[in-house]
Amino acid sequence: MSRVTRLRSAASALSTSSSPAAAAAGPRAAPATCLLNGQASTTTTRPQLWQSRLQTTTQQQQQRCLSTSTPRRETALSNADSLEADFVEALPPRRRRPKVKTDLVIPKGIAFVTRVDAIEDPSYKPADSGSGLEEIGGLANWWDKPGHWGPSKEFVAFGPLDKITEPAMLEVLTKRAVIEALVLKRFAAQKTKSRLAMAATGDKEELLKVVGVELAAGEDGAATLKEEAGFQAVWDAMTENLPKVAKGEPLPVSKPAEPPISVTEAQQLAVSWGSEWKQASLRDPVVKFYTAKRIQRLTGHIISDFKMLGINTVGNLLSQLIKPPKAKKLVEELEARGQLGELPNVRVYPRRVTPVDKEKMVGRWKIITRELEKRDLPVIGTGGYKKSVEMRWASGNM
Amino acid sequence: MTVKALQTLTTGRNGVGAFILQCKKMDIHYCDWAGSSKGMNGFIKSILPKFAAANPQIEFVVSPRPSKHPVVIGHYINGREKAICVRNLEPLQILKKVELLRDASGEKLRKVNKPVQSVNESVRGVWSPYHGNGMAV
Repeated sequence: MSRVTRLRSAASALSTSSSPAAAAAGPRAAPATCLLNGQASTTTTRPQLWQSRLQTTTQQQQQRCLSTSTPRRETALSNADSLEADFVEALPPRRRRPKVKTDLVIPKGIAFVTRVDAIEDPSYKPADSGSGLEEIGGLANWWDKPGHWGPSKEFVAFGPLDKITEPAMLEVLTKRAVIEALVLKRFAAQKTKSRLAMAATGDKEELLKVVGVELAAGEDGAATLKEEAGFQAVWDAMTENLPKVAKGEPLPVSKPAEPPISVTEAQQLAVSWGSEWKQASLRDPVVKFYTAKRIQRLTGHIISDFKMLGINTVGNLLSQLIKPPKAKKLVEELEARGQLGELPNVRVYPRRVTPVDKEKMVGRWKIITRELEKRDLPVIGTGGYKKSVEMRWASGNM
Repeated sequence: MTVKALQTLTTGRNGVGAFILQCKKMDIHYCDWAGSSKGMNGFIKSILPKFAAANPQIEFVVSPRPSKHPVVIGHYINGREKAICVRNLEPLQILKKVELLRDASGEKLRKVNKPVQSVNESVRGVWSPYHGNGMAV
């Protein structure tokens, strides 16, 4: 606040002592112009000013300003320059902002360009207008430019943005999700590890270890692992390559990875398992929720709460995930459904039924073609012939 | 010489003996792309199979008509046809229109004032001046 009041007094003194033209010419004496913000580095005159040592000069100047006689221009100009320099130097140093640790690219504070009158190149010609000149620097759209956002600010989705739609791959990943959900429920007491395991994607070896365990329906029909030792084996495979996180540290965020096996491998695996494991029940809400979360992480499919209610078995879950691709045309969909094709009184055409098609249906098209060719008339189209003029005359349109 | 009425052939009275539905064919047109055909596409997928099975007398022809509004055209045994544009209608609204076409006779719409209509010329027969007791002038 004190800095502002002092600047104000200096400005009033300057404006009263010199003409606006002289005031405008004042800063020209400086060899360079600060573009963004200037910072006074010299602090030698500041203590003097604070101790009223420079008071005499200011008082003399003010007295001159208040006198009725017009001041001599040159003297006023030189006095104004010196006063400005004094005040700029006398400004207290700006309070430094504390440095913020960030990976954002922050614009740098000060940039200097050579003044026009200080340019020595004789071929330099100042532009008359700004149109057509190249723009350099500036802060406009700074945050829209690539590279100015740090990697930590990038959005990392929990699941892959492109959903996996290959049926065999979905089958493999669903089995993996169900097995891991059962194991995660068993080892839920190890909070950090289970949270890390929930978000891990793992490599091929881990995937094959997990899906190698047999999944089956228990006595009550609920999904479980066939052998008790499978729980520990899967847990070991899941936690083998987890990153180490100290207590209190936030959990690392990693991007979802592509499935580590190919589609052909997935198909082979899916065929080898059969379909018994799909009968296993998923009525346990904890297992169902863990499965849904793992499926989102591995496949990108988000199962809504409403659909979750209707999922009671692994087969239900698979039928929610595996959907045939949407037909582009209605005819394709009708063919897939096959309801209309069975009815004897319904005909479905895949494309528009044209007048030519209608003639062909009743067997008249051959005759029409023959007769038109006999008369040397075009079979399709007008052949450049226009409507009869007589018709137009008869209708009264001249 | 007695007057004889002209001998006429029997006229068809539909529904007295057998009933023949007047609508013989229905063309159902839709567009794959346009939003106005959304309801029609739903109708063809979900309602038409049942409706066509319930009405085996009618021939249904389903064909696309790209970039046009959906239309149902009914063809009748009197040679006439009726077309109804069903743009932006819901499947159940389209079902109402299709039922209307099925039940229509194919005739032009006419205002009916009398409560009873008959194809008989007269119940009493043709009047003759030479018959009966005559009238005293």
